[in-house]
Amino acid sequence: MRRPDEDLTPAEVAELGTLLAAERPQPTAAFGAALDARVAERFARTRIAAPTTYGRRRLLPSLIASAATLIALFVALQADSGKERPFPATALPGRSAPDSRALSEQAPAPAAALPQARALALPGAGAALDRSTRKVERAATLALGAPADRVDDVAQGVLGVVERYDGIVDASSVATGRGGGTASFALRLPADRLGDALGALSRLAHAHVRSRTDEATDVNQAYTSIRRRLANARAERAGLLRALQAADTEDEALRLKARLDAAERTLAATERAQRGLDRRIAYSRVDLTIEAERGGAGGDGHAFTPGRALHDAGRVLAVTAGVIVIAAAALVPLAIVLACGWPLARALRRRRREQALDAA
Amino acid sequence: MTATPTAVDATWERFEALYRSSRDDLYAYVATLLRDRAAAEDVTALAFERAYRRRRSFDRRRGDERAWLFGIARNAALDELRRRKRHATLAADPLDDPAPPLAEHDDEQALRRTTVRAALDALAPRERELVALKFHAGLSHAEIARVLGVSESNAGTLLHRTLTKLRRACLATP
Repeated sequence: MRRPDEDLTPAEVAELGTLLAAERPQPTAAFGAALDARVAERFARTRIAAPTTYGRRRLLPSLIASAATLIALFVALQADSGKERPFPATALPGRSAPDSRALSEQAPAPAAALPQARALALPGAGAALDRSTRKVERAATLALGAPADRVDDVAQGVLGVVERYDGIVDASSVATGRGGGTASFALRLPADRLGDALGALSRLAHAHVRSRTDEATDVNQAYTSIRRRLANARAERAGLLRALQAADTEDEALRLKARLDAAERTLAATERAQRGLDRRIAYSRVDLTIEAERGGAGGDGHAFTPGRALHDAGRVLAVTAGVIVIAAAALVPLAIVLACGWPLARALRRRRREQALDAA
Repeated sequence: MTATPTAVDATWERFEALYRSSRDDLYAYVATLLRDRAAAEDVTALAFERAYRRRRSFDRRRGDERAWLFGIARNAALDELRRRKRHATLAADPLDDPAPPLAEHDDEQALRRTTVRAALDALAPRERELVALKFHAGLSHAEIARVLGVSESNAGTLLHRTLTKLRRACLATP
């Protein structure tokens, strides 16, 4: 008899093979027929309940891609809508006239609200301060677009609005030519009618708003300071006058006169500063420019033209490219994580399967 | 009613040929691995279905079709084992009739079969799998290596050790 630790001979291997082959499990005829039928149908019927998450795993990448695209779209839309907020500064290149006009009517409200908000934020400005009496210096910048052959008309319209609202033209410059033209104005408009005046300027015939900026500065502290200095200067002058009348000696009278001269100079300077500040508060500075638009001759500058269509198409492409870039920015890190994690996940799955075999 | 292919589909023809040549072998392997006839039938059908659906992704450079099919079946069977372990359901249903009884000509033959069956049951699952791949499914060493993810020489060594152990168990049986 052979010992168990001896090497296998080929004859033994053959014999074992024969015996093991005889132990081979055989499928039943019913199972064989059923499987044959399913194969012949190319597994057309419903899948048998597969103990797997294969289908879900296949869906995962597309779900991730869809989520990333949605996030990118959301971010792009948010970014795009953020550009059109009218406050604190508004820049509306290419906006159509009705849109910009509607905006110009809405814009003064937040602009007017600004000084109040700043007043509340000022150091030392307590809640007891009456916000309605605070002194605010306002300014605005308005850029209008107009067809090349209408720049002069729009400039005339500007002057008409200034006159109607009792404003002042500090400086103006109008240049027109065959290729277009520009005009610029430095205006002062009554602060209490600034909103209406800007609205009227925005609605000028043949013009549309290209951009608009509203500014407001709280000058309440400067205002009260000047008032205080003025009162002090006046009181000093009155006191010096009384002292001069009561002067007993000529030397004293001379000395008091010299002081009185200085006090009057101070008083005059303070009054000038006060008038300047009052003027700035009462009249808001408005810098207005008019620029001729290309291709606008004879039209309103907003007609549907091939050039405009090309511009719009370019804008659509730019937004699309932006969405793609954002989506890529979201997907690339995910792809890197997946690329690193995929082999690890496969190895882990394989290990778990092998463990299941060991435990069987 | 069965669907009839309307166009020449090379991948389908290859799959059909693979199915015809491997159906019983695959079942035998899976049944040995799972030791449960009903589960073996489900997993065998599932393996063929998966192979059918993935037939276009088969890459001949990475091995032959039989090894690829047995790899799919192995994964499905191991998943079934995992699921069974998680759910801790029924006790394993052994193959109550591992093979149709042969015509027993003599007592010695019957004794040998009983001895081999007992020795086979005593093997570790991995060793039983090797035996199934080699003697029930008839895979070559190269194919076994591909299915198990080991080198061909390693597969040969493992098989030799398993057979040695099997013979030892047979000789040790009184």
